[in-house]
Amino acid sequence: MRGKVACIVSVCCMVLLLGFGTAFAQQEIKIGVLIPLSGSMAVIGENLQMAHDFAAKEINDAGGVKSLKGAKIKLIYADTRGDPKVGMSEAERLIVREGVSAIMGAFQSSVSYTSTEVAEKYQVPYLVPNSLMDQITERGFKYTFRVERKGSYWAKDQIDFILDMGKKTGVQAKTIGVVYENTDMGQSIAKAIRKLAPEHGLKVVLDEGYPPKTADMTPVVLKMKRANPDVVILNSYISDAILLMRTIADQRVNTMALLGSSSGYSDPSFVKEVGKLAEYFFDLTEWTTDLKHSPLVAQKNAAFKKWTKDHRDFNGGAAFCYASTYILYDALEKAASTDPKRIRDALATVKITKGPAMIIPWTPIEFDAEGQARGARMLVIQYRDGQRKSVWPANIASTAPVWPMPKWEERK
Amino acid sequence: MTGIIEAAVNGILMGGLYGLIAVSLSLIFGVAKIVNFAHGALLMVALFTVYWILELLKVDPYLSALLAGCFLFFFGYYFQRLFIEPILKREKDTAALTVILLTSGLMLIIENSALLLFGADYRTVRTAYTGKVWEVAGLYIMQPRLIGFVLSVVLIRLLEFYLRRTNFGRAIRATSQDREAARLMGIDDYRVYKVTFGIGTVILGFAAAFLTPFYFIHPAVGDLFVGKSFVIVVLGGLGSITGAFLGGLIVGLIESVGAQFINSAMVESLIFIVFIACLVIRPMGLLGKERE
Amino acid sequence: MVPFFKIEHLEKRFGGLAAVNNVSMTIGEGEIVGLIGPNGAGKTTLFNVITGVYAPKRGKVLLKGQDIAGLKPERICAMGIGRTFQIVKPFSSLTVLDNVLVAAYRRTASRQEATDAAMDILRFLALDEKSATLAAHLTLAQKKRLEMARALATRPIFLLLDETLAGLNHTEIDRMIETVQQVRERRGVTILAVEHVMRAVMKISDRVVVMDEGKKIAEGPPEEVVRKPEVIKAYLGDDYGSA
Repeated sequence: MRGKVACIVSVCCMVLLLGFGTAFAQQEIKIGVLIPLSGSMAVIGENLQMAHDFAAKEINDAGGVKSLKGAKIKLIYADTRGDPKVGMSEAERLIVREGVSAIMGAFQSSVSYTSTEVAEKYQVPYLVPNSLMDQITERGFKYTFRVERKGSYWAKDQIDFILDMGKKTGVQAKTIGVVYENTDMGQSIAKAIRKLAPEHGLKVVLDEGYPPKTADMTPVVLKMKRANPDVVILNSYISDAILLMRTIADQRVNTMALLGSSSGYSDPSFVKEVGKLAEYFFDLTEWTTDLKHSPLVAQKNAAFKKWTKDHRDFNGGAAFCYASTYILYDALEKAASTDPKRIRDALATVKITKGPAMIIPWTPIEFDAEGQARGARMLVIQYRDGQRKSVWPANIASTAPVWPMPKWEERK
Repeated sequence: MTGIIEAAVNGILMGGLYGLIAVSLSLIFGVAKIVNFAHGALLMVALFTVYWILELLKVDPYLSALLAGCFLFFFGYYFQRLFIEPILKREKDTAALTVILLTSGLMLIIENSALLLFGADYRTVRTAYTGKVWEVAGLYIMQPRLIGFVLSVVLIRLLEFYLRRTNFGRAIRATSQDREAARLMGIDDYRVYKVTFGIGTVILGFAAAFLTPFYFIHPAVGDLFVGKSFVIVVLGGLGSITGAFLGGLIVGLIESVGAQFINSAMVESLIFIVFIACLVIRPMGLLGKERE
Repeated sequence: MVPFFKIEHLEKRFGGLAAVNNVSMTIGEGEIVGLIGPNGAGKTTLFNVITGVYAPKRGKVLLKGQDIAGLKPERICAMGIGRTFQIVKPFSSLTVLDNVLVAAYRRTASRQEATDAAMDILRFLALDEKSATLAAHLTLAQKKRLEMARALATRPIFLLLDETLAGLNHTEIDRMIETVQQVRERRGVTILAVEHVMRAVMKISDRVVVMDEGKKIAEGPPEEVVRKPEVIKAYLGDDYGSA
């Protein structure tokens, strides 16, 4: 009899211990991150991964999510290989197998487009830091949120910039060319430019989408040379950006301006590999390290630079991934739960005006009914001495633009 | 008009390099009947070999081809010896299919190993030829492309000479035509395969050296060329060296001149239309042999 | 004394079928032996086993006392066994000379020696005028002689001929018979020849071996062998055998 009692008591003790054990152990909040980590896009993916990791490390070092007893954020990465189908299956795996509370990703529009659908089905919030395809937030989804400005607005910003430069300098562009990788992202910008440019008196004289995995850019550049537009708007990933820039210089194609649309042209590899050829190149971007709107920009960039092994700066994509991790953190604090539905509701009502997320150049950070960040804006930089210097709009810019670009023959 | 001529010149110059890469694939296929899906990955290995030689030894890029060639010969030789030969020996009848699966797998392994070893960075080498342009009658001709093209032609002539006039070259041709008969002539077929594979990768080494002055290097760079190479090999006639080179020129021309008239996104389809048309008219390819 | 060439209880199976079933034979140096039998009797399989294309399931193949069964074809070739094919297999996109050179180089590394030897053989087979022609452009009779030339260039001591006469006309057959005899007389090569043209078999063979359904069913001088009932039966069926 006594033995039996002892037995029951000890079992009770064990149950209690175990119970307390779990209660006291630091909880983890699993967040899935979908990015391309292999193939030709791997270099971009790795850069974004560092930004996410850095934000998560800061958050966890500062005590985790306080409303969840200091629970740590655990990022679980899934490689999309840049493939929309793989994106879908990996999203499903993250939700069903890994049991993540929320997802961030997927960089490429086509992958974000398909993988958000999976998240919507499982009712898991999906925060898109970088993709710009309009339709991502135009399907009435309740669980998709996007920080980036829509692609069609990018085109508007680019046209505004071109017109503005014409007014300021008196050197007005009359014709325009658009050269892009023939993917969702490229088409989305090109489509908007085709529509907007004529409305503002700009004639589209070249509209050239080249297939992904193009080995030789010379045919495209020769076509550009013949069409001879005043300004060329370019949209490329990295390898094509490098090849295009080199070939444009080789063929001495002179324009008032070459204007990129971020992505490849904002990647650190671009300026590293094309070197001097990048001088005076304009790039529409979401972000740059010399922005003046908040001291956090310089502080956080310096911290990131110190933390990364190769001491790199944030680029736009990375800065948005960093900020997005903080936006999600803010929602977690508000939700005080790991339940996807409650995190979704918290995201829908965030209104962030302080904290590291403010490195992105607008306040407050909030989402409209579609899940699109309200007030998202773009800026233009120009490569000067190998640095990305913000030149437009004037109120947050650090440097005066050089417009038109000097001719190739006049450069040293 | 100048624009079209310029496009044609560029198409031929670039086509020469496509051709050279395809010649390597065609040689390996023609002799050993190996469908090598790891071809792009081997090109990438060749590019990295050239890259490291240039970075570490700072020699002329065209000289680096010779050094890279020495290394790549053994790389190809042992690639065949260690991975493909055991399958050919073990699976006499089903080997063709297994080799396709094997080389596809090896492609993933090689590319991902490169990613681990060298990272996903895009690398370029600034050589004395990089960005140099000759201006001829208003046309800009990029120096490294022209040099690469001329050397490719020389290299292919040399390869043909080797196959036609040397002892081992004849053995290679004999084996490619009839493996059993060649064995009964006392030719060690597996040795021929290994050497052929080695020669194939040496050619890739040269192609890599010709590309490097104006191209970039990345673990996935082979993907840009490999699909095209298969089209070129079939277009030129399976196993035909001159055919593969000619096929390269044709594809280069269509790509470059075609893009001046239609959207370059459509040019890929144009290449396939020409490809299919060619196969309908000449099923054995441009310079392929009729099947007996 | 060790016989020149000897097969002992050789067996080769494809699945359940014994293509060569317990075959033994001996061939003396300098002999010409005819190997006959109906289609599917296993003659070509026997050749393939001797030349190393197939490894036998059981049995020995002895060349001058040394067992060569199961060695690789290129090894066996190096040991002095050459062959021609029933269906001619020249390397058609190589010239006639190159075809022979491929084989000649297996015996010497010297370009001069190889070319001399090759030209010598081409002269012997009256193909020297065709040396620069592509093999694909030869007539059938010429292709057959080229097969022979190629086989001879590996300097065999023992030559296996697989239906060298098939498809040739009367004049060509006579010429080829003469050639085969000269190969033995002038070059001292021992020959085992599969042949369907009976007139030729009778004329050139010192001895004939008859195979049927994988087995050796008869052996002896040509005139005697063709009269044996079992041989007639094998060729013409049961009805004739009992008649």
